[in-house]
Amino acid sequence: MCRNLVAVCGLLCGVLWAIAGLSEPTYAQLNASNLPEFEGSWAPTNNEDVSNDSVPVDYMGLPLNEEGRARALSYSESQLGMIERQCQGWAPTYLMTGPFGMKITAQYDLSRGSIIRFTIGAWHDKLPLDIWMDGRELPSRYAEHTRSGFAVGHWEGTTLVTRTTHMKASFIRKNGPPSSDRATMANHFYRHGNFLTLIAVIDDPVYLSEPLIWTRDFQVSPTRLTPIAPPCIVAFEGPTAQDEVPHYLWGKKPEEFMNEMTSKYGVPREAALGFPETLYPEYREKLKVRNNRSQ
Amino acid sequence: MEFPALRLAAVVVVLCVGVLNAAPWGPAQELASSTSTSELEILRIRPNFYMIAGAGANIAVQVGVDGVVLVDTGPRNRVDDVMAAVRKITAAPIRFIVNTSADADHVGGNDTFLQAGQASFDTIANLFPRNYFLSGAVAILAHEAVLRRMTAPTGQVSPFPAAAWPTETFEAGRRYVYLNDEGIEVVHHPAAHTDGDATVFFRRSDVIVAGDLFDMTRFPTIDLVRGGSLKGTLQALNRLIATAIPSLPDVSREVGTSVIPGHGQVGDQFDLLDYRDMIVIVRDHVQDLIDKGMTLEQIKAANPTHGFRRRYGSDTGEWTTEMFVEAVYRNLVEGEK
Repeated sequence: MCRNLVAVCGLLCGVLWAIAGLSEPTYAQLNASNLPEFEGSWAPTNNEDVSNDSVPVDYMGLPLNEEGRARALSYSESQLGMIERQCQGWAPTYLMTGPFGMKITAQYDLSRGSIIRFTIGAWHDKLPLDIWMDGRELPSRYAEHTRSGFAVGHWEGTTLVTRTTHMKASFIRKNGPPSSDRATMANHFYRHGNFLTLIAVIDDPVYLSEPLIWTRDFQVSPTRLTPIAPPCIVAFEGPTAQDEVPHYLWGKKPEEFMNEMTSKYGVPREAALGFPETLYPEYREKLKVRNNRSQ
Repeated sequence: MEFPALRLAAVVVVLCVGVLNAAPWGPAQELASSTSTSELEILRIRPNFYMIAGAGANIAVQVGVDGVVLVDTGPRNRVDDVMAAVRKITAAPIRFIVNTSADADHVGGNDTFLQAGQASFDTIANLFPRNYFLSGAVAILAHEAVLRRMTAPTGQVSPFPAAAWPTETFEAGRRYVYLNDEGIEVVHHPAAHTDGDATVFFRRSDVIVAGDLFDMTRFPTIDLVRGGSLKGTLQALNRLIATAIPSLPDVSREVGTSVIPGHGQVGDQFDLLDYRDMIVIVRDHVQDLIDKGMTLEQIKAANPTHGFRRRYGSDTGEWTTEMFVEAVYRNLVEGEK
């Protein structure tokens, strides 16, 4: 009788354990010793793909389509002086181009031994990015698109793979190349010792002719980064009529803006305008051939 | 002895599995942030505030002790699905309906919801107007122009059945009620999408229902035939932008006023800004081409919506990009009427 009772209890526990296990197969396991640690403060190395936004017309390396280029060329940075836009912040793609480091924290479900989410902290003009690891579904396509977007993540080996959707329309570079609210961003987080490599694949059916791929490196920061942004106070209240928006009509972008990449760095205008072929090494050969002919 | 014990164990296991499967993840009967009904989606915007999407025009549903407040009722051919979606949210009686315009996809369910609401109250409440509204227990509120658009002069065929007509109308710029513990402002925007547009601001919920003044799926439908105008559309959007408040000074929390558009995803003040700025930029391009002496056909061919067409444009359907360009052109050339 006692033996039967033990068998029954064992069977019951086994089935319950199996049910519990099956109900959360996608949860990141807290105690998985082979997974790298991402939490902490990461300083940018800023040795590649960092913000090319100091020149008004520098869209090099961006596979803009015609619509994207038209939007970029009509953009005026005076838009940031509009009262409603002074505190708007940038899209999550700014993670790849901004000057900041990353403060990564994690929230745990201690009862299940799992990570609920990672959070990449805010910067003064970048909102925090939550990466949900608990297998939750995407929001409805009718749900509000936010400045941070909605990101889910999972492990592929020791790589953290994330996908961000539901982002607001914004810009992929601060000098005007746009991103739409249909854009998505896939990220891969690799840790190599004290370095963290972040790869982003940004897909935007509205403004890009092909996916944009960026990489960026961070290293463990000896100093503690803060995960919170300072308050933003609207300051400038200059006269802006409500039915006027700073922008440039076609062909009206100032020539000194259009020529700056050429005059300062010798970059041909077509390369500065962000055509897809300028992404590839073969384009250098094309430029060499053209330059040789012109000489 | 062993066989019955194992059978008992199997029964216990089956019961346990059944109990586990039946256990809800959240509070009983509580809707998730998004659920679907017959291809319609129900989005929870606030604890007592929902949006029903997928029927055509978006429908807002506010629920409380006074019953259900609806903003718009969807197209006629989806009324059963919309009613099912409302009933999935709550069994409370339909109490108050606001129409944001006379568009068929916004008023198609008016009569069905009106009758459903009236049926929820006793006969006396429906017979004696002083108890509730002029129509009895339930009202449909819209601007006077909406009533004019939904009716026809004597002897002509009305575009909508009498049972679907607004029961309460207003001519002034603003009408308000206080239902379900919050002030609800219904604001008229003259000569915008049409001449009868109203937006509805739920003050405690901090939700604006914008109707087709704000359409996340296409360029704004400026219906010149029904009294719409470019200038009025911009003025209306500016007013909504001034009403909506984003998360300031704490920009790290994405909270603030929610804006339900006539179609498409929920937005906020930034989305209103983007939409208004898009219209202004297209307007400026059209004006520039007019100043260069181009005709309407030449301007259409020059594509003044370049930069926004892939996002908002359409070459087919009831509101094409060319129709939008023509509306902008006619307003700029012929002036506001």
